[in-house]
Amino acid sequence: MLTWFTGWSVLSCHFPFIIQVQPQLQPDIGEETTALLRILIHKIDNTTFGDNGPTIPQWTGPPRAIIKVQAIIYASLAASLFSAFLAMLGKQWLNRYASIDVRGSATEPSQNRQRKLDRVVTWYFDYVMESLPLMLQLALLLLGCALSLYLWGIDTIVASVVLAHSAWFSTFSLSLQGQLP
Amino acid sequence: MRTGHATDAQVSSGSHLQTTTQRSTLFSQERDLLSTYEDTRTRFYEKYRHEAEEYNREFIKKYDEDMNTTLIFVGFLHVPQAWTC
Repeated sequence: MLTWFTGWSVLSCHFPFIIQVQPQLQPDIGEETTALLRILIHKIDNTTFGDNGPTIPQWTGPPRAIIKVQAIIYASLAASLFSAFLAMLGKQWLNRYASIDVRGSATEPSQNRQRKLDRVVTWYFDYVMESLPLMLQLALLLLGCALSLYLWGIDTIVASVVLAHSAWFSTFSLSLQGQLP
Repeated sequence: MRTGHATDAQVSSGSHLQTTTQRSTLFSQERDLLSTYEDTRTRFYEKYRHEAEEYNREFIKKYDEDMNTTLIFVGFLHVPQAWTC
């Protein structure tokens, strides 16, 4: 219960105020409005901005760094979505596996169970399910990379904090992988 | 000629009788074998069910809990991802 509460409060309250990457992929309307206002003021009296008059900035696509950040974040999103999808399918499969759909003394249900187990083995169910945590760790790592890359362009100190935590998390999880049975 | 025929017929009926007896003996042996086979099979599958029960319970429990953890974690992870995208 505590984990749920902490997780939700931290993630849903803090993140929105820190990160707004998506709007930078589109031209900023506010910037254009400001430029137009500057031109208007310049037309009224030619003294405010000195000799060089303001010009309307031309939108030349989003910055390269933002595109990189977005690509990494979408990769992370896709990885975690895919693992959630696999987990959902896995749960469904387990439910079907657990259900007894052939009635009988001992022979028929056992044969049915063996058939289901054979299918589980054929489709590498175990391996897929064991790979889900790895996929999630990859998603988290990608998110950490994207956050550090984005924040590095804004402020180096904040970015180094995020980077240090990402590095610490990944080292921890990597060293833990060897300890798992 | 006649006697020869009769002898032939006797011989053939005698051998026929013999084969029938042999067959019935064989059949009963087969039936015995079959019932022994059925018994073995039933006993095998009863043992199988007993053994598989425990394995399956563990298998299902393990992966079900893993899936739950994964789903909860993805739920958390999607909040920052959705906000940064």
